[in-house]
Amino acid sequence: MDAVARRRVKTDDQKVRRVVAALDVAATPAQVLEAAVGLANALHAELVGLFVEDQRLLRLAELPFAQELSLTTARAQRLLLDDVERALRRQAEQMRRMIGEMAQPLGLAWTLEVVRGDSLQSALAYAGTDDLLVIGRARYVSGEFSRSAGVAVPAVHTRPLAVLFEGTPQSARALGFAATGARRTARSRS
Amino acid sequence: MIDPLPSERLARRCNPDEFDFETTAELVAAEDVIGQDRAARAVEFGIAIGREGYNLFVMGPPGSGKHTLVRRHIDAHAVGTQRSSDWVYVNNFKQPQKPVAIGLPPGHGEALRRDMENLVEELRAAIPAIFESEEYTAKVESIDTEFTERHEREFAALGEEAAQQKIALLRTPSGFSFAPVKEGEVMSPEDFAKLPEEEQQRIQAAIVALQVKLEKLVRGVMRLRKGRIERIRALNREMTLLAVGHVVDDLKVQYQEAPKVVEYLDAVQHDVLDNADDFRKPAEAPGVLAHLAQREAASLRRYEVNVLVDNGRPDGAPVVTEDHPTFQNLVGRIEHIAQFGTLVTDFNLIKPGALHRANGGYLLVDALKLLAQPFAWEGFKRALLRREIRIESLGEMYSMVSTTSLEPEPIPLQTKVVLFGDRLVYYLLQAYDPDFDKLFRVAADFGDDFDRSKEATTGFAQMIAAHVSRDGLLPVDRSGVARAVDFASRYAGDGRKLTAQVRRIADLLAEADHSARAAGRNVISTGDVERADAAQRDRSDRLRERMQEEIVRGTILIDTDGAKVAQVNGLSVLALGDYAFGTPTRITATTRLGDGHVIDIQREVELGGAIHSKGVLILSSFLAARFSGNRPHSLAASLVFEQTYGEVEGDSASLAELCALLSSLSGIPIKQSLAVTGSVNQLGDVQPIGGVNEKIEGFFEICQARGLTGAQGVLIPATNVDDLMLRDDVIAAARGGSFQVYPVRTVDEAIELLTGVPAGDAEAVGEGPQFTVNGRVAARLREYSTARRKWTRPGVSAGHGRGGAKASED
Repeated sequence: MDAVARRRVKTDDQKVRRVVAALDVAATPAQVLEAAVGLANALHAELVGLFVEDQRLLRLAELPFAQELSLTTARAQRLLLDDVERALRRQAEQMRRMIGEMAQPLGLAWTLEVVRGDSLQSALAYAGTDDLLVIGRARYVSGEFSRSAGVAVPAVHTRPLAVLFEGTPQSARALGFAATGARRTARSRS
Repeated sequence: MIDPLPSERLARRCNPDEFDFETTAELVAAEDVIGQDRAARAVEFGIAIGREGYNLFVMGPPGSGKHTLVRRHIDAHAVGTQRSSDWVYVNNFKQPQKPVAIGLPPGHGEALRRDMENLVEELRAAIPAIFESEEYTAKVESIDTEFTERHEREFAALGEEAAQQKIALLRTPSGFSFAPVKEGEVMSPEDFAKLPEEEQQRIQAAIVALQVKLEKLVRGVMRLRKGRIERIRALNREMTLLAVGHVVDDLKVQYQEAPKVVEYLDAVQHDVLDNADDFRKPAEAPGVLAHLAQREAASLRRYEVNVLVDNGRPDGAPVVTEDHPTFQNLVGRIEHIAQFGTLVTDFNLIKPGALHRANGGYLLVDALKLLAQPFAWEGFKRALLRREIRIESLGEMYSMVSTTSLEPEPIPLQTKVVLFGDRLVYYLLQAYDPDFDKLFRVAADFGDDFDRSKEATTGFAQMIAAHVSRDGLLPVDRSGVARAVDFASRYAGDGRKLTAQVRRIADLLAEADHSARAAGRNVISTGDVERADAAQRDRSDRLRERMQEEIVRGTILIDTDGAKVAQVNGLSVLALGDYAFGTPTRITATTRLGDGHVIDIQREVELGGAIHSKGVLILSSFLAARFSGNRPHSLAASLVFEQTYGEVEGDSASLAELCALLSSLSGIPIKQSLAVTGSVNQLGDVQPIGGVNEKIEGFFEICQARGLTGAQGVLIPATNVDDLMLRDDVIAAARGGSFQVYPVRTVDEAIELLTGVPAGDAEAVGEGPQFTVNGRVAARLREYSTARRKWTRPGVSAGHGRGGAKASED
């Protein structure tokens, strides 16, 4: 899982209130959400999807020469503010649907928040001290390619689960949660 | 004068003492078909000969044991022969619309079907296991990592290069973009506008240059992604082969004797490698995903084996009787199933026809049923001529439905066909169907009757024993058997023959059994057989009774005593299905001067058949030849069957008609107590006719109803005497002298009996001692001739009727 779990807690024994899944345009939502839903379920916490609309992208779209090179067609086209905003809204809506589909069967309480700003900064700013933050690692070229080869191979348990460890007790707890989560997903696959 | 026949000549009764058994229980039930030696030889030959085109056409009257005899010969022959092949249809992986037919040794078709079913089950377990294995996931991960790392590196390097020019590489919703950066933040339009012109141009040029590199990079990603897919696909094939290879190899060894199966198994392996995904178990999801599971099952249908013909169980060659020989029931059909509003099909929906089931064996079909089914005869012949079964869709052939269909590979055909039918069908086919001769070279002609010899009656008794045992009837005592023999002769219409319609005898026995059981007896005897026959006749007797009533009441004018000129009782037979009865018909004649024509009124109104007309012409010729040899035949006459309102056919009344004419010409009355049947030739000889028993009994019944006088009787051709199988009441009357049967050979014998006047010589004329019928006729015709000569002088023309009137005035 390309996800970073970090817990901001005051004390070791304080309960995790919310699991915040931070998502942006570059993240792979399925992986992040899968990890977040698993943790929220395990910790009996509320699930919050935090979709960050990248401020930089919006600013770029205002420049008269801004162009976008499509990853699917390798063609350049004009990047317009309206198009970007529409695409971000669509992505946010997609997140909402995904969270709903994943959380509902487990009976998890969930919400989706949309904020505008820098991805990581906004996420860190949003999360409270009793929240567990799950962040997707941005990649240039992502996606489960093996699907297109005709055989789908679930990648969850084959990817590393990263934990930001700062030497604090909080990060030690986060490491513990991540380890539990990784074992759980591995078991459910076998 | 001819003497009446003695009563013992009126029927040939079978004497029960001929038999040396008490009841049929003592007999060994042997053949239930007898008297068909010729047909049996033909059937035996037709079944034994193994050459092409030697199929059988078995013809003859219904109920003569055709099926029984053929089936017995086939069964005897089929037991020793080798079992025929199994046939299966399997998928053609290259051209699914052309399924492949495979012939296998008996029983192996079903085995192949089970083997393929097991193979699919095995693969459904083995293939998912392989794809979930650590080994597989590690290999996929390795390919993925190699791919991802390479591109991550290249993108990172491009990002680095951009950063050096104060440009950031950003992810956009569907790709990438470059943005100018100021103090770590993307530059706003205002800030950008504040930049000097050169700087703006530099940034834009740098972005364009970077975009060119990015484009190249993305194209590289796309290319390598394709390569990566290929590698994963190759990996998948390699892994699948691990699961499939050894299972298929085992099967190939098992079926090494059948090269077509080995070829098919290779194709299966190839297809599984290409479609390994089909074997992955569907998620256990009810409801919306149920149809996906259905689709998955449907996709695996292509590995099934459609066993068309399974000869695993029966011993010997197959013997198939097709009772409903439609085109599809004969050559097989391709069914369709409805799927999302369209009709679809595959090789599993190919259904066998009778030809498939009978391949390598025998097929028994009724010819008339076959001919009555649209397209069936042509399709059937096509298969026999091509010696292969090609399943064709009628709907498609005639564009009745428009849907994709299959063209299954034809299956070689080798079968012996036996067609059953009437002789008429056989001769019509032979005359009008050029293919018929090529295909049906052996005809087995079942006779209507057979000779009533001592051996034959013994065989007949054994046949009765066979029916008794087969149908669970009470045993028949020898008097009952003897009576059944009598009826068999009567049904044949000939005292020297026995009917070959064994079914009729079987029916008679079944009804006699009913009668015996009703009376609480445990043996069928003569009374039961007689009651059964009487009951059969009674059930069909309504019309005969009605006609008799009309005659007795005098609505239909028939005299049974007295004497009248130019009026005679003829006899005709009315046949209603298998029931026939005789009834008298008044025939009258009128004569006058004319030019030699006898008018047959029946023919004039088109109520006379050709044979009837022929009879009338013959008797005219007889009259002309006998009486007007050397002078003009100057007779005009009319003949009619009084009170008949339907068509009259046959020449059996020509003797009666001639007698009526002779009476009219001679003026000598005919005894109405007698009835006449028989045809005449030009020389005045009496020839045999059909239905003699029914005719005699028909007249007897009328006379009996009015009271027998002792003078009554019937004149029959002497050549019909052997056909006599009269009822007991008629024979009793004859014995008592109240009703007689006279056999006549010539018209002279007949006219003597009818008039009581000697026939005499045609040249002897006169009254007293010379008073004869022929003499009076000759004299009258001479008068006509003389009169005609007067009338045919120049300027005077002679005509029918009018000329006669004038002549009598002279």
